[in-house]
Amino acid sequence: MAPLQRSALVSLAIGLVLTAVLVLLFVTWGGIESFSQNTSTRLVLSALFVVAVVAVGVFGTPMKARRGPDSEVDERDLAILRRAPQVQLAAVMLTLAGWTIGLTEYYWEQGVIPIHWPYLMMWSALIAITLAQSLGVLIGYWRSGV
Amino acid sequence: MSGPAMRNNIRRLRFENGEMTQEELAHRAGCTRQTIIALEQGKYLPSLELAFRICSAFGAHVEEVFEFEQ
Repeated sequence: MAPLQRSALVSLAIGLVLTAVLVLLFVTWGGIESFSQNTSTRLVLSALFVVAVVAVGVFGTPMKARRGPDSEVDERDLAILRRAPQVQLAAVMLTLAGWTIGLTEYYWEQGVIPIHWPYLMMWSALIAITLAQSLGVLIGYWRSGV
Repeated sequence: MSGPAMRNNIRRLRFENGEMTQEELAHRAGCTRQTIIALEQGKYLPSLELAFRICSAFGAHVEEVFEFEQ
């Protein structure tokens, strides 16, 4: 297993665990009702979202691709890494399409969408784009068959 | 219509050069062992720079290592 591949696998695992923890906290702290009405819940969850996304982004796959004398990444790894944004684009488009279609259909009669939903759309899109980078790298290695 | 294809003799040249391991070749050429595996399996086309570094590791000319098929 290539170093970048191992790094992507670890990043994806950490990202999935952090996502599960955040969703669990969101649910146990009262779900959408609490998020909508309680400012402190909203701020704490938002801060945790930022920390999780930054942690995966900073310590995750892209930083392993730094070139240098000690780099374990070569041109093939970088080529795979450069193609990963295709998966990120698809992940974000699917996430936003899912949210938009779901919310629009659900609130069609009211004609308006409650203000807290765009917040959650943004966080879920950020999570999707972060996880999809590692996923894109893993797909790249899987397709290259080595 | 099929496009141009590249073949290489890396596996044969490794064995002709004292049964050089993939790891050793990767170290000499400045790439990962996985890239050498991908090259030997014909699943990756190297850049010119890497191709020349591999040739240099074998002390061979490019045409001895890589073959171009129309």
